[in-house]
Amino acid sequence: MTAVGAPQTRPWRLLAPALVMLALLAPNLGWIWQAWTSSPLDAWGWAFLLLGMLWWLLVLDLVPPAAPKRVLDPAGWSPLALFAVAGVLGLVLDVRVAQAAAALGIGWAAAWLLLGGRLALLLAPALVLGLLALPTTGYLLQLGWTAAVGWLAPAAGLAAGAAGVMLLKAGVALTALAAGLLLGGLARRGRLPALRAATTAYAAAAAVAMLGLVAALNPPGFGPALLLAEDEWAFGPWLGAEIPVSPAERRLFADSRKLSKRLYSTRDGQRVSVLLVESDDVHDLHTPEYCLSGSGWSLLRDAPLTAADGPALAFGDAIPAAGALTAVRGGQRLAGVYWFGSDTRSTDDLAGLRLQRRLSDGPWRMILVTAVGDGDQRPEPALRRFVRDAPWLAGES
Amino acid sequence: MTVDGAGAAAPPTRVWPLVAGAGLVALGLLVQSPQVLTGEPLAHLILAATAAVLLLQRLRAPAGAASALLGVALALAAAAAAFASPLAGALRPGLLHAALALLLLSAVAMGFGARMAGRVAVPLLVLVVLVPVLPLFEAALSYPMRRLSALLAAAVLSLGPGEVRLAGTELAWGDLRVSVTSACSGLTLLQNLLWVAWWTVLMRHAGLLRRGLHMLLALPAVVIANTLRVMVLALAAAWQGEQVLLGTTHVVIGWLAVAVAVGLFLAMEQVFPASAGPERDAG
Repeated sequence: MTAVGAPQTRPWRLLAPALVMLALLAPNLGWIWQAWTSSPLDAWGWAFLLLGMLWWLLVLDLVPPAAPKRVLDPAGWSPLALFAVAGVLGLVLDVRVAQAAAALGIGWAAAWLLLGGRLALLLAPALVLGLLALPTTGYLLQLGWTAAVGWLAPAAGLAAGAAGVMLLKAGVALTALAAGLLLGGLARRGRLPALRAATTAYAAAAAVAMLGLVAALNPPGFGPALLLAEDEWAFGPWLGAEIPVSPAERRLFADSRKLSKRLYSTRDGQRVSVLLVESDDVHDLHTPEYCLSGSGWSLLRDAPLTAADGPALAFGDAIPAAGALTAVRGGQRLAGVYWFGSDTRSTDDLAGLRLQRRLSDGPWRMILVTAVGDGDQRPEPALRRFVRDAPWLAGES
Repeated sequence: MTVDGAGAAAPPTRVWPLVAGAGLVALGLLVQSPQVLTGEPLAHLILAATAAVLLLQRLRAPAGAASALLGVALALAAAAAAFASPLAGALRPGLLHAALALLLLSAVAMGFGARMAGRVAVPLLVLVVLVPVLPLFEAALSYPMRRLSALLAAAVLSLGPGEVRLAGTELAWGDLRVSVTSACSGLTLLQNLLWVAWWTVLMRHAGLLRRGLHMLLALPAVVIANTLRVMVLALAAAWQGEQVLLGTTHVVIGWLAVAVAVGLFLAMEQVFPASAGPERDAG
């Protein structure tokens, strides 16, 4: 891309974006490291980060940036503003993945400003790989994929929605790298156009608008609080027992005030597992899809409980705003119901709860009830029976 | 129909507008699926088809700096509307629709210029502003149109055999009783025809007055088409039984009525000849 003999850019321009990125990412490095080591879903995050760093260095090595005609490329201000807004929102709402994504994005936008738009486009795959390295992004990717498949092809959703998180991440990473190679090819032929400031400003504004539309179309729903009477181990045909929490689970819920895993069974062989988590910090809660995906389950359905589920899942008078899950793993099939909440309300939307939590709320709880079936034995009857028989307690209203 | 091509050199053939147009029609088909956007699916389909027409028309003025500014401003307004909508209580659906419309308009402004955004603004605002509030004017708009269609249908049917009685909006023809309900008022027909009418007057006339006057011809076109629909439904019910008033036949006849209304409006162009010259941009 650089003409022979063209003046080269100064080294500080090459180093500054990476340093900015690292400085902004520093407060969240501990969280990222913990997620890589404790969450099965994020275990390979470091590999994506490594790949992203390699791509970044490769681009800077193979496509040395020419000395810019202007001190800063004005088209870079819009992406910088976009990621800065994301970072501020992440700080205000205390959403760590938004803060970390903003740190990566601001570093990339700094590269745009200092090294030019063409080079920033070539570096974009590194940004994508970096985002894939962050905890929670794989889960968000899977949610988006499941929603998209259910949206576009409801009939085919059962099979197509079952893609695993790693497969999705790998697909996105490969697509980003392929796009990077394509852009690189165009750059070599001198056919990679420089983006105008107006274009990037529009792209940033449209991205914010689309984010707003997505948020507005998916408002969190809240329902009455519902708790399980924890000291009743025998009710109806069910007999419960505490079962050990695995080391991985203990690491994942490390700071929780309470972590209880129970197995309830009936004489006729039906079994249901219940996970109860309680913490003073809402960050300690994790969506069950997060754990299930990490344990090899592929989600077929993850949707709020609807009126159609009502007759099957008979909670009684107080019906929580819960989510219903269906997942498969090999020949096994899992059916589950879960909700988060406090003493006063429940929701299936952890992100919504975190965004709309009140200071008066808390402690925070998660209740997950799952049943697993093998072969021809479907898990839904056991789940329905347990929900009908369990000693539910209404929360404060 | 269009006056742009008269006397002008044939434009070079381009493939991308066709591809983009087909893509937009496909998008329209997608958004009319109930999973995506419930309510007013036909209007969304026609919105996409209108956008396709936009692309298929050769656009003369390239988007300039002002267009980019407008596009950015509209996109930011869309963002504001979208983020404000969850807090807006009863205004939430309106703001949500406005956000979608502003985002679409911003894309048109960026891609095709501020002038084209101005052209699209009217049909978009009809979709976003007028259509959602139509139920509020049900009593004022629906009944007169139902009554008019029922009256005209009764008059025409009375020319044939059998006694035709009309009570309010209910036609009694022998043993058969056909009620012209709110759904058959022709308002939906009018709503859909407005898009076609808008593009027709845009391409044929310059100036708001002439365009507005020509637009008014949409009303008689709708009344005639709706009357024909009521008559055909009555005849079909007399021949096949009252089940045709509820089933697929009813839907098919409704779609045919849209086509008839469009045809009538286009035929009425003879009443209102084009006023825009061949070199004049219909903007």
